[in-house]
Amino acid sequence: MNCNDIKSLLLDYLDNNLDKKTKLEIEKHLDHCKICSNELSQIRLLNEKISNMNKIENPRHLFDTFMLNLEKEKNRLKKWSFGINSSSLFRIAASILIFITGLLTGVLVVTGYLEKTRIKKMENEISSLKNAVAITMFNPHSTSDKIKALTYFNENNKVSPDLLRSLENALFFDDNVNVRLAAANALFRYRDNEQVMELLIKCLSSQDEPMVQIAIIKFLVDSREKRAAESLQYLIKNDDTNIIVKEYADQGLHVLL
Amino acid sequence: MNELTDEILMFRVKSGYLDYMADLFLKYSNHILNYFCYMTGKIEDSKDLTQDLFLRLIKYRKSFDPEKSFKSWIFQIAKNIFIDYSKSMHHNCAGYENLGSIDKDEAEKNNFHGNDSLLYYSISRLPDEYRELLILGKFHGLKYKDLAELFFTTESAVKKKMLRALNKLREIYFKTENNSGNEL
Repeated sequence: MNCNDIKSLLLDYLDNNLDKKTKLEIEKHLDHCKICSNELSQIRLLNEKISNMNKIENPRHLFDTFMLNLEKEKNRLKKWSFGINSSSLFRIAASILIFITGLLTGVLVVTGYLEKTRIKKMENEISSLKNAVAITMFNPHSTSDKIKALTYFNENNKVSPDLLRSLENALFFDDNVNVRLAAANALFRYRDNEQVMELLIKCLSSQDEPMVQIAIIKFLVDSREKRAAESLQYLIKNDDTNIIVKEYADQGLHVLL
Repeated sequence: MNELTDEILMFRVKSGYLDYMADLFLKYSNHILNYFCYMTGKIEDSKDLTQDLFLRLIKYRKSFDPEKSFKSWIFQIAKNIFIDYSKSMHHNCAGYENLGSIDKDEAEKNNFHGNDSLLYYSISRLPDEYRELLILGKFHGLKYKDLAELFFTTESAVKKKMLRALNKLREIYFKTENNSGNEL
């Protein structure tokens, strides 16, 4: 070990933090190195001097002042906690309630409970829809199944061209009144669709079944479709039109114009 | 009573039993007062700083971590207070250069120097960080572990710094001793 090694270990040597072997080595070095042993004794001296430096005694009033401060602080704490009890209780209760609700929702979402039930419901719907479509395809003459199929058209479905065409076919050409009525009802869902509205207006003049006519008139008048006025006038003028239908058309015309 | 460590006392204060602060005050206020005296060299200011420190302990009691040593926590706060103080002193009187130097008249009045004014002079000449380390480590007897926690560093780094501080002190102390010896 050279002097630099010894110097870096002096503090540990003084604190007696070294193993026997290192300690002996240092002592051996100190025996013949004056610079290092001088340094050690100086550090030792200063260490002792510092630890024996005069201590300044606490003045008596220091503690009294502190106790006064402590009392003040305690009073402030009391006031504060009282404030919580009286005014914020309701708010705290509400926030706890919200927290619990959130927690419950979180748990349901995480465990997938809500998702599972929703998916199951959708699966059921899809299978029944498929069933109905299959029935109409394989059994085109069964009226009741056609109606059933028509009622299955879900509101969420978008108006695809295919769907529209099949509804149009049913409305114009089906032999059975009830099927036509059901098709009309299915079309009523797409109030916002221009094509559908035009289709219904066109159908009004070609339709000869009073029941279907009345349903369409009612719907068009309800949705304030002004373009229907012409067809309504045609119905009123036409001698073949049912009297009751004429009455409806007349009333509707008044509302529209 | 002996079973109650400082950490337990402070934990009780943290939980709202402020009265236990009085125990801690009795135990530590003298250490803190002396720390401030040696750091600032102003005895009157140090009393105010000591009061200030114990108020801060109450105010920030929630931030006390019972896993860590109370001693290094309290000196940590003392250190911050000293830094604030020296900033304000620099701000108030520009040209007050050697803040740490102990005011001679005041020191003599209070018998601050005792019988070894050379040591106090040398300590006051040290840079703040060295003086602080020596006071905390050698005068207050904080362990290297506590010091490392206090300065956010490792024990070996603290040891190296301590050695540098002692060497610096040695240099000033024995140089001055030789000079004054020659003059006399």
